[in-house]
Amino acid sequence: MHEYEIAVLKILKKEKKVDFRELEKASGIDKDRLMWALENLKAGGLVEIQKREEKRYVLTDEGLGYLHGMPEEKLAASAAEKPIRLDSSVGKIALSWAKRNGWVEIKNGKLAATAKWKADSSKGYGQRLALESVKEGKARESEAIDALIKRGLAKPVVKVSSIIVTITPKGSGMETEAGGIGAIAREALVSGAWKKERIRPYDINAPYEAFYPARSHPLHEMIKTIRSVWLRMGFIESVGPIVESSFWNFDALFSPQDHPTREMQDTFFLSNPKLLDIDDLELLSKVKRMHKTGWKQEFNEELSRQAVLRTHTTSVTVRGIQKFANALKQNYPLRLFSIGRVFRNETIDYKHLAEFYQTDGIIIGDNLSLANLIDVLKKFYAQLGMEQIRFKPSYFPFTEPSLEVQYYDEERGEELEIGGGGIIRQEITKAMGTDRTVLAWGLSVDRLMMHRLGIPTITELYKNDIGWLRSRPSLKV
Amino acid sequence: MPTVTLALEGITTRGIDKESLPKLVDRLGMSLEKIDGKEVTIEVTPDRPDLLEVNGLTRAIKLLEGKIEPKENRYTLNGAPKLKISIGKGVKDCRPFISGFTVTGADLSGGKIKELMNFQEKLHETYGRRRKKMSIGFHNLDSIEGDVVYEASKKGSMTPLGSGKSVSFDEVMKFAGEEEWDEIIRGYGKYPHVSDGKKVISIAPVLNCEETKVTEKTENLFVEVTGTSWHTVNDAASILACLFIDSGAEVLPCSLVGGKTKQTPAMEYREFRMPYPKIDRTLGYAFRADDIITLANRMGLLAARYSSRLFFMVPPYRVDVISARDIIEDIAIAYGYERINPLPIVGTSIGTPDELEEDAESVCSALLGMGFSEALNTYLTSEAQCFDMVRREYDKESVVRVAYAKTESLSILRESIMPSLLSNLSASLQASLPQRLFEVGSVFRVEKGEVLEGRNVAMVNEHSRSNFSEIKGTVAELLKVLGISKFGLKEAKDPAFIEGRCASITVNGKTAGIFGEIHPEVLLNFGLEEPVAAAELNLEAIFGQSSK
Repeated sequence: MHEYEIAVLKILKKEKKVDFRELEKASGIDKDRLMWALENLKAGGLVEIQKREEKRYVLTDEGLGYLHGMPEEKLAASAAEKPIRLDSSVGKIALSWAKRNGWVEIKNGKLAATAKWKADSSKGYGQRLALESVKEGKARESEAIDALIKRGLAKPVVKVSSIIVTITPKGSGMETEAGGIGAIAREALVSGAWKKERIRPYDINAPYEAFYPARSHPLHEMIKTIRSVWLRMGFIESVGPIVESSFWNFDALFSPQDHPTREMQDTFFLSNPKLLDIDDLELLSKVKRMHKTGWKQEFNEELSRQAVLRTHTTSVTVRGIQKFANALKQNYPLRLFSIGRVFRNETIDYKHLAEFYQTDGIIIGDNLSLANLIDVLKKFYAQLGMEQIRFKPSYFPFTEPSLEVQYYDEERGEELEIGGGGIIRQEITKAMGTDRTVLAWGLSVDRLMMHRLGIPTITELYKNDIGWLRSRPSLKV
Repeated sequence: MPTVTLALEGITTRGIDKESLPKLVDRLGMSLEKIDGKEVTIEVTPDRPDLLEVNGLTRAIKLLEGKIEPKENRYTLNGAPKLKISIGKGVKDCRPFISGFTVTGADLSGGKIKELMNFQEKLHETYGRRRKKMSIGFHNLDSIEGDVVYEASKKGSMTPLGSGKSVSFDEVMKFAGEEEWDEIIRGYGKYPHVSDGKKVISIAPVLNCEETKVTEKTENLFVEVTGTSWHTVNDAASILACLFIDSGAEVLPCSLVGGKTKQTPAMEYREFRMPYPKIDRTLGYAFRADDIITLANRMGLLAARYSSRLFFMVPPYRVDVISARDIIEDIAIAYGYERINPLPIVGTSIGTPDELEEDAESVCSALLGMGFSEALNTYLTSEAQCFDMVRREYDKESVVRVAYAKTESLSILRESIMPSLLSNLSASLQASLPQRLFEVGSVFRVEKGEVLEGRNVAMVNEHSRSNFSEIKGTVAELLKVLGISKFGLKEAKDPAFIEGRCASITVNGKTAGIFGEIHPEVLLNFGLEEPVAAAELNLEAIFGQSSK
């Protein structure tokens, strides 16, 4: 028996039945270790543990945000002011609840508030009252609470309110004054007492005292691996801003200004700050000319200034081209890489996140070819243990020729698109001020990650449940 | 990328068997999403609108296989125009461009009319940017009573397709009933329309008239394309004209009065020339000139060699070719990407990491050594989590905010990492204590209209005896490991922490972070019932001082 177990048993032999908190005080053992010792005693049939559990509720951060008004209330209230056009700005969830509550109806293609909304809004909305009761810790099971849980606004937590420990007859009969030396104490060691007394053998099959190794996040391990591969291959690391102007994220990459990816549906545009300054006016006018000739359409500088969350790390790449393509004292070929977060406006589910990682690279040099690009990408993936890749034609506005990297996942028996690349269009390199050739690519990190970890849902990665972090398998590279 | 669903029968009757389809489609840079009984769904790259329809798709495949050869002047319009299009008043400032042609002897029987209509819809959706930039109207030529005028006006009347009586333009809009087109017209403030002198035959981006309705028996057609970009309008008309030529019908141009050209569609073969070694250099493979000519043919391009130069003629439907590079890519596609051998780059360089990234790595390993596990959270969050839940006040002007998020709870970029870590503890209620977490990541703030992106590290420590002293020790030892032995402490006020148990750190006189015991109300907001101590430091402030 462990020292803690012996200490606990001694107390219990005297008291028979003890409250956990009393036991904590009497034994002087901290909560977490005490609980561990009790579980061990219980497993040996020496004590019984009665836990009284209570179901309680806590708000999620989304729920907390709605304390001052649920989206459906806001929607109905603004529809009551003036009928609203039904477009993508109307939240799906708000609309469906407002409809279910009978607060809105569609009249002439517009959303209008009903008489029921007037009646209900003065009474106070059941779900919001429930939300408040959760916040105050007074919530009890009810239909409104169930609705909140389904909507992910509140969640139930089981809390232990009291623990009573009772000793069993087997426990009472257990010898706690076992002879011999238990834990090796300093005194026993120095005085030589250990020579006179027997050192008690332990049960090697007994559970060990819990301890939790610190672990790094698997995604970070993946990023570290990728960084080290690029560094080994002679690449210089470059970093760039996450909040980027549409100029660097789109225009400089020859993405036409009326391209569908430049709509609110796909890209995160900012409302604060709405616009960013473009310092290099000469470059702006070159890019403007490139668009006018290439796409044969007008170029709007205001659109260039719109702030976005970068949709790819290719924005870092193109900044790199401008910075390094003609720098003095550079040795060519010059190799650059970056790795970082990118953003897409997505409805989050098990397969989709609004942010993920990408790694980009370029090589600036003279007379570089598509065959060179294929060589670099093959070597990169080979170092990650991925030999089974192939290349196929593709299209990106900023490269020509372009290619796509396909990886065959043997375990799942399916092919995954894991990256794209090509030779940067001459229109772009010229605007950036160089005649050199630039090979470029952008590769997905999260897809490799899911493959490596074998996790079924991508949202798992950002939950950071310590239990999962502690027990997750290591990455195989 | 646009996808298109086609009847499998249309493909197989044009001489391509089902088994070899996936591979051929893949070689052309498309991908076959699924074959589903009688239908096949293909993803097409957005630069090739000509492949969004069965004739164009099978044409490309048969060329690639060498089953057909490109012919000189196959797509040149030589005949005399049958119909005149005049550009009249009012369109110049709203939807200025029109291109059109006539077809005689077309065969729309069987499923062919459906194929054509599907293609029209696809083009509207993608290339036409949902009709805003370009839209197409098909008419029965035999019902066209005279030369065509394209103009715009606020009022007028038409018998809309599918209706029996002539109504005002306003009524037609209600009949058509699509908000999107309503939006386009509202932007114009008037109705661009095409008429034949006797009647209006279409309101350009919206609807055709009943009289010129096309059925599967229609043999003679008038096709009009209108829009806001001459380039797009003419390209769409050219792709359609090539489609009818391939089907064996006779296509005649229309003469154009008041437009960019005298005749529409302007569909010439475009010529590109380049020195022969340029292709080898770009692709990294030594081709023979004859091979290049064959490979160009396989992509539908005409090619010839004259001493060391190569000449290419690009057919009108290949609207994606805008420079010599596009032709080089075609050569590579025809050759086959899988056959291109990897070629090592000559010249080495030294890999160099970014300094701050390296510093961040040393922070991570120091904290791992101190028993903290690493978390990674999303940068997008909500005001509720970032501020309200930790009792922090904020200035709306200083928060980086997105204009519209599909997921409503992602409205801002985080200004601090600590709230994310507290929410991780909240997600870990099932795991045993002690729970120690850290994260190194970006934080964002707006100052004077500019976005400041900083790199922070935050730690949280939850267990029954977690306190100020322990987190102070963590911070001090971390700084020591990082080589900073001197730092200052000041009492600090931050509503996230308990007053009197919170301190700010200064490194070389600059504020570098804050730490303390988390306020009980914050703990309860996250459903935490044990004490938590936390810290957050700014890496730039720390390393700005110590790195040099």
